[in-house]
Amino acid sequence: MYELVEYLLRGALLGITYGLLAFPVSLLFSTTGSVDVALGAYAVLAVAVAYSIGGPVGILAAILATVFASFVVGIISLRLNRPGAVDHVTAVLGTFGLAMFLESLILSVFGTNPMIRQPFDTFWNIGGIRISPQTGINAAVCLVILTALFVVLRKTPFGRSMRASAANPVGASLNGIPVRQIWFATYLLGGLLAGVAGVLILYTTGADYSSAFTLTIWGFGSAIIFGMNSPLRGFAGGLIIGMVQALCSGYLPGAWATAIPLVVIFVVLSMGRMNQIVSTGGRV
Amino acid sequence: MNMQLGSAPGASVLSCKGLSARYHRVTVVSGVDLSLRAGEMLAVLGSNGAGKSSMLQAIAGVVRGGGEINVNGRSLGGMSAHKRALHGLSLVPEQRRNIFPTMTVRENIDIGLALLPASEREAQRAFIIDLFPILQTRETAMAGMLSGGEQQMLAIGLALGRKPAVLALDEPSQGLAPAVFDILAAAFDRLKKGGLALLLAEQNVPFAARIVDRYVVLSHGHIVRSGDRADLDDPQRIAEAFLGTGRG
Repeated sequence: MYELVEYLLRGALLGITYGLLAFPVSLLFSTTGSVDVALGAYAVLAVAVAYSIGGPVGILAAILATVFASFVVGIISLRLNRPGAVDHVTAVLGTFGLAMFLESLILSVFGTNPMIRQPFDTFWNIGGIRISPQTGINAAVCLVILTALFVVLRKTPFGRSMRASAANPVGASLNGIPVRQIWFATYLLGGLLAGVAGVLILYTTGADYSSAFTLTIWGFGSAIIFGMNSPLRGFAGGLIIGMVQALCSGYLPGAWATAIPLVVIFVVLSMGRMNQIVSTGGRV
Repeated sequence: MNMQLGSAPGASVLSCKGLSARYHRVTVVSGVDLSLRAGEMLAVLGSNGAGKSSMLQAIAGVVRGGGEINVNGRSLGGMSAHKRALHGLSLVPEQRRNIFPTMTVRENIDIGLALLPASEREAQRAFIIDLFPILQTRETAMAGMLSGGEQQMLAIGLALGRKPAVLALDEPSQGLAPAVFDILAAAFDRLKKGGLALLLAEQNVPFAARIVDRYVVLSHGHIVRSGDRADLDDPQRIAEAFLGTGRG
């Protein structure tokens, strides 16, 4: 029982970073109907930049780099889409191309070595479970970000416009809401969150150039568990995926530890979860 | 055939010249000229596929189009839909597609009011509620859960939120109970008296005949006939107007 609790706790803490990636996946899907496959690549870009520069300046540079990368994707999206006439396939392929480019760039500049920083050499002992202070920082950062996003989405005119654009883009345009700019801002927000997730990953598990698509898959998988149209529930999905991973790592042989969480995602997809929740567009 | 409407007395609020609408390379409306005064209601009549909805959507900027579109003397041509909304043009599309089904009635109205200065919002909200009192009763309901008539009232209330100069309505009577017609007709009459210019695309000619001042008939994307409300009181003329036949 003690072991189980430990796995669940570690999994939830691991899932925080997945949740941070799931949030923009859901937000982007519910707002634009599209998916940014490059989110994982943004996170690895943040890992690489923060790793190479180091310190607070490195963290800032990392987040600016990911916001710039998402800016590029946002421009592509603006070129392709407008309310009532969207081309999601081309936009998704564009983000796929950008992800490939970023992966190659990181490989060329930073090589194949894993990038990780572990600033703490002490651990907290919580009921006999050893936890790194970094996981506490991760949880606190995440709580602050989620609270801020919830307030923005539910309580501000910008959030209302974002939800309106998600629920009915043409209707939003007719009501004076600049839907394309809202979409663009959503891409930037996704880049920002992926950047934060990348920084947390650098100080937790680390990553290398090839981690991008794995992170995208975990972010996407987290987002679909409780519904692609609900960013906050997408975050909760991240916690679930993290716990499933931790349980598999603890109780199953190595290969299964990676495979089982992917099977869970596959099962959720095959149950048609994405389609079931489409009608909830605009909710958080 | 293009038909220039008789110039209306007083300042024109909406004027369109050479208006066209197209989907990709297919032009569905072309060469439409019309004008609309404050406090006037103009019906655009025609059968299915005549181009009524496309025309209204081109004016609102939802469908691509060309020609001159002026509201209160300002050219809206080339502007996106949301900018046209900022400059006094409001469209209630067919089947109330301007509402947000997953948001409450109050949130919907708030979106409509968002473009007004904060100091004017409560007065305009009160005006909308006074026009359609049912919206107050249903304030916390999800818009998607309202009846068709209630949704239509919400769609109109939403479009009125920013105090537009021109309100375009695409088949507002479609699928509604006759009892709702009376509520809508009374509301339109009140809006006209308040100086709003109303552009109504309608297949329901008897309903249009109750409320409009003038009409044009659209056929295959062109105006083929125009006239005054009196024409529409005559059943024969109604049929002619609907079919776009008879004298022009």
